Amino acid sequence: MCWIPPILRRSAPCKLRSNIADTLFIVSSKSGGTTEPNVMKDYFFARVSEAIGADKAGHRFIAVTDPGSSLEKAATKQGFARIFHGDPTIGGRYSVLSPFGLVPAAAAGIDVATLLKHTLAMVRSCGPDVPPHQNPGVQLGLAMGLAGLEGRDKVTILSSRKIADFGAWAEQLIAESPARTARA
Amino acid sequence: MIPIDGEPLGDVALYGNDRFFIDLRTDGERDAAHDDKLAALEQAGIPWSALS
Repeated sequence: MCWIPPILRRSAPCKLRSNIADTLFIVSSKSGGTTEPNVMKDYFFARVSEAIGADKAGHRFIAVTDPGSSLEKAATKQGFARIFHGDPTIGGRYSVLSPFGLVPAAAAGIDVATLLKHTLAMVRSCGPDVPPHQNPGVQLGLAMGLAGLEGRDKVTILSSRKIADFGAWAEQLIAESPARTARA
Repeated sequence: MIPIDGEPLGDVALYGNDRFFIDLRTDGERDAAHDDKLAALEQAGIPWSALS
């Protein structure tokens, strides 16, 4: 299995470090209309076809996409091993905790059940039935809001070693979500 | 608010009054040098929130 760093995933087909014949490809696109994943799919599908034959190439591909998308149609036509449906009501940036993130996580051997158990604990802690003074989501929102009113317009995210990559996701959520509605 | 990720926590003197910090860590992770810097932020009146 090959883990393609995100920066490469977004730009151009990278040089695979693993054997192409032993590689599983997961094509994720909500709509199926985004150019980059389609280009990557076509490129690697052709490479795998060369390596193991066009009739078997689809066995090495999995699609994660919203129901009825153009990717679903293409994946069906190309004989993908599995097609997982995302939930169309979940926006792209939150979809990491839906099949879009969980399918690759499971394929990479991550303990998805434990991940979801911890996620649900936080979801419940931040629920609308949890009083504000006990609700970490409300507490963080209030702290950020008050800091913003004081003129603090930069939030620095510090992540400990075990969750060093979490900050990049949190950065995107903060940049895209509250800022947008606050200024609307 | 502009989020900033991947920036090492520096000395308190480096920061103006335009910053807010969020400190993320898993249960049981301890880093004394890091905690000293957070304590220094607090003494300087720079707000931060902890999530673990």
